[in-house]
Formats: sequence, structure tokens, C-alpha cells
Amino acid sequence: MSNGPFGQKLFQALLRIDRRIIFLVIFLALSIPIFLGLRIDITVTQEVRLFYNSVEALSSGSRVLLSFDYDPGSEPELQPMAETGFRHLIKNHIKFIIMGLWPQGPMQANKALTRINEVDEGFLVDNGDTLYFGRDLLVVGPDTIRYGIDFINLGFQAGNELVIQRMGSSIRAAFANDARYGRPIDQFPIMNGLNKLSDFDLVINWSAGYPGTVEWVQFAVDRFHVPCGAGNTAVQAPQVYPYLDTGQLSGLMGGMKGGAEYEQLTGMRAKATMSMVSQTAAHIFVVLFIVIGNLAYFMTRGRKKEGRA
Amino acid sequence: MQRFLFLVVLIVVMPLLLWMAHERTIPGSEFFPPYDLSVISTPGDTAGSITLNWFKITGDDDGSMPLSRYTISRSENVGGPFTEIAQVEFKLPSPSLLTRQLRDTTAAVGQAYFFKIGAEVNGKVIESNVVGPVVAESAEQSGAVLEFQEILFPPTQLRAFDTPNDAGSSITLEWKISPNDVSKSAKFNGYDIYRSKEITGPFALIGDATGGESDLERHVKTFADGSNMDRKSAYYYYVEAKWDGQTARSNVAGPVKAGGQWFHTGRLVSLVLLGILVGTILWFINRAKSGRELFIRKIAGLEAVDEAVGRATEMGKKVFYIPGTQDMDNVQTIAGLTILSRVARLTAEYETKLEVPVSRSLVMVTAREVVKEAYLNAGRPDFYSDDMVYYLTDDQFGYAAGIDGMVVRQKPATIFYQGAFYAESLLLAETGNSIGAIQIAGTAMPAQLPFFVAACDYTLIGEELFAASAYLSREPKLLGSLKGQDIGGKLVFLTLALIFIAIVTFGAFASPELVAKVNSIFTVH
Amino acid sequence: MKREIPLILTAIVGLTFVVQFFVPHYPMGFLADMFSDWFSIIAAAAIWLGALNLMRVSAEKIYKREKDRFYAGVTIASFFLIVIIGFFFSGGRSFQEPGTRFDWLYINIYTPLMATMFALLAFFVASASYRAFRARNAQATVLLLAAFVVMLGRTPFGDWISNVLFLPEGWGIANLSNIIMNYFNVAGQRAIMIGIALGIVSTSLRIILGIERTYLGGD
Repeated sequence: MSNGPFGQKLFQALLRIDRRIIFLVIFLALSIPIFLGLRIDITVTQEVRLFYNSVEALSSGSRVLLSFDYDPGSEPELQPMAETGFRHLIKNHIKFIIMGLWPQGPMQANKALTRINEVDEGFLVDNGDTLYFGRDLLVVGPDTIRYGIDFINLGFQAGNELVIQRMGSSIRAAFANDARYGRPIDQFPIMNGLNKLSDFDLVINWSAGYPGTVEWVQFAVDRFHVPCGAGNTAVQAPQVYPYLDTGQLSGLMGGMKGGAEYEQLTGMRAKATMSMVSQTAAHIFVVLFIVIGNLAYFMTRGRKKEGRA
Repeated sequence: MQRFLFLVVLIVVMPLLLWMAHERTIPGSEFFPPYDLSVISTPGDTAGSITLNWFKITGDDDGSMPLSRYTISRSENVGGPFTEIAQVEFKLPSPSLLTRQLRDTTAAVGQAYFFKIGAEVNGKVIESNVVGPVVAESAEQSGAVLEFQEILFPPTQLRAFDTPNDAGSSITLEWKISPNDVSKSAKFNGYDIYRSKEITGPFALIGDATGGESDLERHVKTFADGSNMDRKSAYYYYVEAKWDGQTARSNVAGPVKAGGQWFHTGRLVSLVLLGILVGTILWFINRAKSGRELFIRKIAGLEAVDEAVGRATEMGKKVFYIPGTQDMDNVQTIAGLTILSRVARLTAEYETKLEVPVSRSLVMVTAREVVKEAYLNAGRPDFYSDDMVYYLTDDQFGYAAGIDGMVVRQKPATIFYQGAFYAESLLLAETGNSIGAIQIAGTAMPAQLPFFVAACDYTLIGEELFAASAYLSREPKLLGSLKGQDIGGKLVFLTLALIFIAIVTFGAFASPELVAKVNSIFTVH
Repeated sequence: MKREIPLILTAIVGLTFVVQFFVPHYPMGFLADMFSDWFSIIAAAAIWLGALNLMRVSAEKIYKREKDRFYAGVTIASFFLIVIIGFFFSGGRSFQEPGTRFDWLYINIYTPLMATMFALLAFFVASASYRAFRARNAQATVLLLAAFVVMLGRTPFGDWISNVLFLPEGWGIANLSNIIMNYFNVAGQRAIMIGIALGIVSTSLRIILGIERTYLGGD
């Protein structure tokens, strides 16, 4: 190996490399694949398959509670899951109730719904009610869903895990009105017979921290016996893995990779799948950087020792 | 020697205490008689017959005992004599998932009968409860005799009891599910729960429950009634199964009153463990007060506090102190503020500028008090101003952006991160690293520790953060508590771990029941 | 007296929370709920304190013509923009719904800003790992190898390498990564968590007993 004066200088320069060069390389590694439109095949892990199966197992007309417990900071990781989740539910004709333990959560849900909606102009008059597309009516593929009948947004409620606890005995105690119109939730047909947490067929939780999946498992699953599936940020996922082994979670998606696997299973390849190439490239470069850093470290360290001897 | 004795006491006493603390029976969890036989006069049968339904026993549904069978006996009196009327072999297919049925067509119309069933399991005959009296009635209208799958069986064995371990606001109901309540049934519509203050009624609908089992082993469903409960009255209940437009009601259970408990029995184990831990800590505090020297290992991150502030002084630059992004109700924030007290005292003595940007209003108020007091104690109240501690925003990334901006512009020589952090940890620490500041971090968020370790000069890992106030002040009482936590806590956990390993390793061969028992003792309620 | 009253209050509230964990009977749960509500009310009211402080500090910077005054101006302007639009121009209580002006600000300003901050993590992780992941000694080398396996195992690239290297079924990089995460990582995390839990118990005890009073301002 070249370890002459030039090699030494090179390695020493590598050790002191400006972090902006690293930033630039990572930037290129992340952005170029997006423009190339590359695609990569991924293997689906067991935990994502479990999540997919637990949604598939629901009969049409089932009602699912979706808790949005994240903010725009975690949007890149969780929004693709949320969008695919909505598409999956709508395709299987499953009704959903949206809520959030984070104040920004229900807005993220609205954002995802707006994004997957295909018609946002025009209106219908039904029974004296004017229903606007994009607001009261959403069109996703062959399906049209209606606010208050097929889905509803209950909004944010302060109180963290206490909200879950209250919902365990009464949903109306935690959410008296819906978030969009501020009307009592009893006025919406979707809430018929939904009195407490155990009336839901499934709880799905998109979580980026506290309060989130840990609280849903501890309160909703353990105390009120509702099955719960979750999507987490990659950083947080290792923390909730133990709940998967014990069966307290009926499925888990971790980070963008989890989202991409979910997209693969549902056949709705979208943002997460697109980002997989970028993510893989960035990982490879980080690994390369570590290798180069260590190489430079060893070469210069070896030289010092020789010099001393 | 003392440690050894302590360990011995723990190993002997703790299992004993835990065993004693373990409640033997949870109210309402005693087992039902096997099979749970229920018997009705066959609906729609003009000839008059009786239909029996019972839950399968283990071994019936998995084909592991193909030669076994149930024997069904009938009598005209409760006490017998019972005569065998039929046999049902395990290998026969059954029309429903959980239960088996039999139709007794030999029953005479108008005659009251009692039934029981027995089955041979592992050479032992287990007999069911005796059910009856039931009278075969001939249906008035001649209709088709319903198949087993078309008959709605009621929920049975409804029991109502005061909900254990609560404040006295609810009554728990438990019933054996109706055999029609199979998962994914399109016809089954759940249960309605009715309540009355008199056994004779009128009963009012007070709630409903979905189908499905709350306990898969006993095939029961539970429901907690807490609606408009009057603690002085006793209540009666019945449950009605809804299926394909029909309803079938259970027996009436009651009277039962709701009452509060003075002790949560499910948490006795926690109390014992907490008691041992707190006892050890108090004992060591006491020992420390009596003036004994206690050895505490060196914590590099805390040793470096003086040096870090000193360097800022030499360079004539600022010290930044970030107390985490959580509020005062988080213990980590409080631990962080105790370190702030020390840092502020040093900056006061060295006349170095200190800035504390915070992300919670209450933390701002508290931190001001801490810094002010530190400057007062250092004899430099004139150097203190309220503006040293200021609020930025509650928003996680907004806060990180604000601090990053200030760090890049003002280039402080020293930055402390002490408290609870989430994803902003690396954003802060890496920016501080880029301007070459000395950085000392401390947090008890396991997921953020690697980031701090990678980007900071020193990191207090978890419990070191909580040890800081004792370590820095060297006050005997605080040191004692530290020592107590260390020895008491670690020994408790070590002993528990050893006991568990022993029980699980040997118990797996010797007695699975023991392992199950240990599991149940340590289940958190 | 100035010191005693807060200490007594702390002891009462702290003990109430400990006792209510073991005593379900009235009035323990009620008291604990009440104290939690008090905290929420105080924290909510204190937000104004924080906001006013932010405005005052920023205004002072502009008034004194400090170097940072431009940023202070941006802070004040954005604060009033979002508060005024949220309160008065976004349809009252349903201000979070799609189509409101508040929602427009949320999607077009707040979201990109947050996402940008979060995205910085990718770059910072790269530079921090370049600097910190050095095989300085045996322990660091083990850490390094584990990091390699986990990082590769979480991407399709790991599967690809496993195929190229003809790693047997069940021993691919993804499987190794799962083994590291599920056993070594979990064991280490639990040890740290137990230490932290003990630290919290001991710190709480010191606070309830009034031994630890630094948070009240000095000792």
C-alpha cells in the first residue's frame, strides 16, 4: 500500500475533511436517485406483513380508529405510511375515525387525505346538504367516501395517555364534537354504536414519540383489549419491538423502509418506495465514509508509531 | 461483608415477601365448571325435543384424542339417578367452532329433565354441572325444526361482582359467550346489557358489548358497568345476545353493590419492591448523616464541568446551557437544573457570560430562580439579570433551529445539554461540535445517547445525570441516597434476575405451573 | 418560610401521587386528577409568560440595535402573523381544517421548515459517524462492526450483499441485523433503562423528602 509522503498527506487531509464535503456527497446520494427514477426490490419483513394482514382481515364496513401522533418533523417517514394506510382502508371499504394526541396530528391526516383525493372541484346536493368534493366527498380510485358516513375527524385532544383512558369508557367524554364542523359527534352516522374503545375493530397509530405507540399499547391494548397496529419513525421503532413479540402489537412498520414494504404489499407504490433508492445510497455512502475514516486513521496512526520507534 | 449479608437477606427474604404479597385469587376469576352445559327446549319443534349445547374441552378440537367421547346422561330429579342417553365421539365433526350440540328427541313433552355430561380425559372422567329443569315443549305452529346453526343460544353463567381495585364506581359483569358468537359472524350483533334495582324489574338498557371473548381460555366476555352508578343501591343484571333479528337472554345476576377498595391488590408486589428500594436509600442516607465516608466512583463528565467553564472564561466567550425540551414534570429536567445551579455558580465566580435558552415557560421561571440563587450564593448578585434565561418556543425543531442559529453566530466556548431530549439532540450537538465548543451532555433518553456520545466531549449516561446533584454538592445526605440507590437498586434487580433465571431454567423441567405462577406474580396491573 | 412552603407543597403532591397508585379508594384518584389539572392550567397560563418574554427580549434586541436584530424582527413578525391569522381569519374553532388560511400557512411554511430541520439529521448523522466511528480499541471495533451490519441490514443493499456473498438462508445481513437489534440492543437498552428507573425513584424520593432542593434555587 502506498504509504509514502504523498499517501500520508492524503490520509491526514482525509482525517480533517471539511464536513461540507460530506454534506455535499450525502446530498448528491439522496437527490440523484430521485431524478433517475430508479426502483429497487425490497423484501417484506414479518412485522409489516402482520400489519397488512390485520387490515386485510377486517370485513368491509368495519370501523378503525386512526390516531395521528406526529408533526411535520416526522412527515417524510410517516406521511407515506399514512397515505397508503388511507388508500388501503378505502379500497377495502373500511370506515375510519381520525384523532390525534399531538396537536398537529389531525392536520397531517387532512393533508394526507387532500393528497390522495382525486377530485377537488364541484359539489353535490343531497337531502338539502351541500357536499363539496375535496372536503365532504373524497374520490380515491373507484371509491367515493363521505365525511360523517365513511370517515370523520375528531381532532386533537390534550391530555396524552389520559385521553386514551377516557376513550376506554366513553369516546364522547374525550371528544364531544367533531373537528371539522364542531357538531356533536352523535349527528354523524359513522359514530352509531361507537361508544368506547373496544367498539373499534382495530386501532392504527402513527407515532413519532410521546405520546404514541407505547401509550396506545399500555392503555388501549392492555386495558381495553383492542388490537393495535402501528407505524413508527425508524429511531423509535426499536423501542416498541418488544410489544410485537408479545402480541400486544398486531403489526409494526418502522421508518421509510417499513412504509416501502407496506406499499409493496398493497401494490400502491408511492413516496416511500421512491425514496428507498436514495436511502440505500445514503447508507452506502455513510458506510463508505466510515471505512475511509478508519483507513485514514489506521494509516496515520501506524506512521506515528513507526516515527516514534 | 455487609454487602454479602444484605445479599443473603435479599435472596431469602425477598421471595418470601413476594410470595406473601401475591394475591392468590382475583375476585371473579374462579373457573367455570367444565363444558358449561346449556339446555333449551328446541324452538319450532312440534314433536317436542330438547337441545343441549356445551363448550368443547381441550383435546376435542385438535384431534389429539380421537378415541375419547362425551357421555350425556339425563334424570328426572336433580339428585339422579342419571341414565346415559347418548354418546358423542371427539372425532365426529361439530357444527360450531367452540361448542358441540346434541338433540334429545326421546324426551317426553311436558316432563322436566336434568342433564349432565361427562368426558374421559387422560383416564379421568370429568363431569359437568347438572342443568335443569328443562321441559320439552311442543311448538304451536308447525314449522321446520331448526338446524343447530340456526338456533340462538343465550349467554350463560352471568355473574356480577364489584370491580376489584377501583374507586367504587363500577360493577363488572362476566358471562360465558353465546355459542353463536363466533368471530366474523355476519349474523351476530353483540350483547345488550340490562340493569335494574329490583329483581322483578323493570330492567333498563345500559350498554352494549361487541361479540368476542375477553378470555380465550374460559370463553367469557367481561363488561364493566359504570354508568350513573349509585353506590348505595344493589343492582341486578341480565345480558341479551342479538343474532339475526332474534334475542336470547341470560340468567339474572345480582344483587351486587359497587364499592371502593383501600388497597390495589394487584400492586402489592410493586409496593414490596418499592419498600425495599426506599428502605435501602433511607438507610444509607442515615448512615451518611452519621459521618461515614462514602466512596463514589469518578464521573468524568461532571469532573469536566469546572474545566469547561474555565475554558470559556479564558477565551472570553459565552457558556450556553440547554435544559432539554421537556417540562418541569419530567425528572430529567429537574436533574438538569441541579447541574445548572453548579454551572451558574462557576460562571458567577469567573464572571463569564451564561445564557440559558429554554423551551418551556415553567422551566424558564424555575431556571431563573436557580441561576439567581447561584449568583447570590457566589456573592455576585449584581452580575445576574433575568435576560440570562429566556424562552424560545415549545416547538421541538423550532427550538433546535433557534439555538443552532445562536450557536453559529455567537460561537460559545462551552455548551451543556442536560435534560430530556428527542430528535433535536444531534441537531444541537453536531452544530456545537462544528464551531469547536466543549460540549457536555447528559440525558436519560436511551435513543438519544448514541448521538450525544458521537458529538460531545462528555456524556452523562442515564443514572449519571441523576447522580449529578449529589456528586457536585458532596452533601452527605445526597451522597447517601446515591449510594442507597446504587446498592439497594442493583442488588434488588440482580437478585430478581438470579431468581428468575433459576426458576425459569429449572421450573421449565420440573413444574410449568411454577413458571406460570411467577409470571402471574410479576404481571403489572 | 419562603423555602418551607414550596417544600411542604412538593411533599404533599408527591406523596399523593405515590399513595394513589396503591389506594384506588376515593379521594386519592380525585386528588391526583385535580393536581394533574392544576399542572395543565399552570403550564397553559405560563405559555403567555414565555411568549411575552420572547417578545420582550426580541423587541429589546431591535431597540438596542444588537447584531441579531434582524432575526429578532423575523421572530416578532412571524409570531403575530400566525397568531392573528389563526385567531381571526381562519373560521374560528375549525381553523385546522383544509382550506383555511391557517392551514395554508401550516402546509406551505410550517411543514417545510420542520421537515428541513428534521432532514438535517441525515447530513449530521453522516458527519458525526465519519468522525466518531473509529476502531480505536477492541470495544470500538465491535461497535463499528455492529453498526455496519445493522445499517446494511435495514436496506435492500444488505439483501443484495447477502446474495453476492452466498450467505446461507437465515444468516443474511438482514437476519444478523435483526439478531443484533433484538438481543444485544435490547439487553443493553434494558440495563440503561433499569439504571434510569432507579435514578428516577431515588431523585423523586429526595425531592419529596426535601433533601434535594437545588431546583428551588440553590441549597
